[in-house]
Amino acid sequence: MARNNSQFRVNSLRGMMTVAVALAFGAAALPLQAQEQYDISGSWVAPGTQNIMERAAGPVAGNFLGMPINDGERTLADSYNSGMLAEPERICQLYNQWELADGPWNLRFWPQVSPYTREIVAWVIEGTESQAGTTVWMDGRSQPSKLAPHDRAAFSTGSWAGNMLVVHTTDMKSAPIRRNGVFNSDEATMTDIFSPHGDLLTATYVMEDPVYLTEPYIYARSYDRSPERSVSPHWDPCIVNYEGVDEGNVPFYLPGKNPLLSQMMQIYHIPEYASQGGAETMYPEIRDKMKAQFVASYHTFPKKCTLYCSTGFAPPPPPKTAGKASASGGGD
Amino acid sequence: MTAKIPGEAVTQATRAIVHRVVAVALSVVMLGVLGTISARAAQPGNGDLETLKVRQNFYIIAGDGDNVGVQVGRDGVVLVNAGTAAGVPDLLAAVKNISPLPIRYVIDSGGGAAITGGNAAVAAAGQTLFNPPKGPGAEIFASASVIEQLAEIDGYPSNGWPTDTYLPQEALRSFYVNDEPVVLTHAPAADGDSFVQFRRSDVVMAGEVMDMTRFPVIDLAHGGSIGGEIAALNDLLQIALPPSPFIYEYNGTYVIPAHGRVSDQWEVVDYRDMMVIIRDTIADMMRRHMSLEQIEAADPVKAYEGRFGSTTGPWTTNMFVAAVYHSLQAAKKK
Repeated sequence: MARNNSQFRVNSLRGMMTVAVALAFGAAALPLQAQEQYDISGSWVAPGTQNIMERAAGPVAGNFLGMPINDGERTLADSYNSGMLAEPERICQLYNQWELADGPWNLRFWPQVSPYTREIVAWVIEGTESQAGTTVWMDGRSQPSKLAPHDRAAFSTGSWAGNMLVVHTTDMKSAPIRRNGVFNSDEATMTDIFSPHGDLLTATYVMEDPVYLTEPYIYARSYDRSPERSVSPHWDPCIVNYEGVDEGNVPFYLPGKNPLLSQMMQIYHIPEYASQGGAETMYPEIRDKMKAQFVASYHTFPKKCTLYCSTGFAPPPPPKTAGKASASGGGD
Repeated sequence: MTAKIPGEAVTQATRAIVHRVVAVALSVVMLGVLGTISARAAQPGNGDLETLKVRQNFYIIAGDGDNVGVQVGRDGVVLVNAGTAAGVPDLLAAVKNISPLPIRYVIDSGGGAAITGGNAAVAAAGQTLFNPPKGPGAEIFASASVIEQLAEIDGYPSNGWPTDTYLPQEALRSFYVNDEPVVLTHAPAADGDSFVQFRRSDVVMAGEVMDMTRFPVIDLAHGGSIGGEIAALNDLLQIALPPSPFIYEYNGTYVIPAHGRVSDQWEVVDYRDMMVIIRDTIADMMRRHMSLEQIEAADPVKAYEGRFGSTTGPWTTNMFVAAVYHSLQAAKKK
């Protein structure tokens, strides 16, 4: 039954995408002037309660739960040492367009108009920081050559499906899609669907990557319109400073030597088969499997919280079937 | 047909054209979303060749042998790499589409057949800037080691040999053509490898040091090694500059790999890090007395195989792993 429910949910998501895409496809057949352009411009603020671990502190090392990654990606992520980001050669790199999905803050949209016709030829989307922004071309321009460089802004085209802005992005940089070593390849593509409903904006981000993902990675967020406060991206110039890693050094862990990969078990008691991710960990059945193991091994868990204890991210309370032992943190 | 880099020379030709193509282009995009076709449309040049304008007076031609760099200007044409012998007619036709002026220089970024195969015929189609006894064809410029490599090839035409060379121990060799400094520096990945910088265009031809379609060829027979490959990539990072401080506005130096798309400092760092991780992973396995067969079975390049690996063709993943292994073995004996 659970499988049926999850399948239904996945099918619903895919169905929603298919409908959106089909509508967009139909819209694409219309001449530019016949397409109605909705006004999505303005500042949109993400509630601080959504996916806060992902967006703020960052995920625990070795937590690939819910990501449809393959063995290659898992190997890459297992070797990841965050010191890599302190390489002088990487300091002025940015995140890519996936940062819109799991970045910390907000979005700002504005239209670019033709100086001749005043028609909207593109929508520009900026996150708060750390990525180059996205220019969504609405004028039907063709894809860049396969030889063209992938610049930091990538290449995005868009169309309207009803009041939904459907954005397709290619030519991306390889960059983190989860801040614990999971990277997309430069062959990945994204489809974003922005659905405004009055002052609420629902965004569905879908990444497909033939190199590292076995299924589309789908991520949804919502935003509130912010008429009184403009989102101000922090697009500061970047200069390279020493951040602890010498030029030419590459921090990483050899296979089997990453000491952080057991954190999910130590902190949240999430078994390795789940924390290692993979398409199967996107579906609810994984909960049933984990629950049985959780209950059976509960007596072995630490009884005192040791990490994130006062932030609301403490390990889960004891299951009712696990006896009287207390696992409430409190800790520090 | 010549493609252009977006933002460099985006064609917003006329509204009429835009309206004509919008339905088709968006249809292509949406079909790509549906996963039924690739959205990346190839833009063929002559034959199977494709030409891309990279900077104002710099192009690349791809599709036969290594990527060919084409600098054009009032002095004529400078080519980096001459492709394969069989591909010369198409290459020359593609060059003519860019500039009607004669080819003045052919610069070999390495000694492989995909770079030097067309030397003789391409040079013969050009015209030197100098008086006899040079010429009448274009000059061929390369590392002195390239001559040694070409001398090993039975039947290689002597008029395809470099007419001017520099030694790897030289700091650099330069000339100034089309109002632009052109600088050759030795790339220590293998004996005959050179980086060729076009300083005004801010483009570096990286030769076989970097390949966006596969793991780099470690040419053990000609002084190649994994250590040299990493040293070369580190050298490349000294001349391929990121767009700091205005990282949101520019791409920085363009790097042209042996094959595949135009890259920049970001991809060079990724490629360098990949090489370091693979080297250290294989070295660790060797320290644990694993044989080459055991190392291959352990798949030390698993993290990168989906992007750069191959089980067929002239340079497979196993060939790369074996080359790294033998390179490390040789370094250990020294």
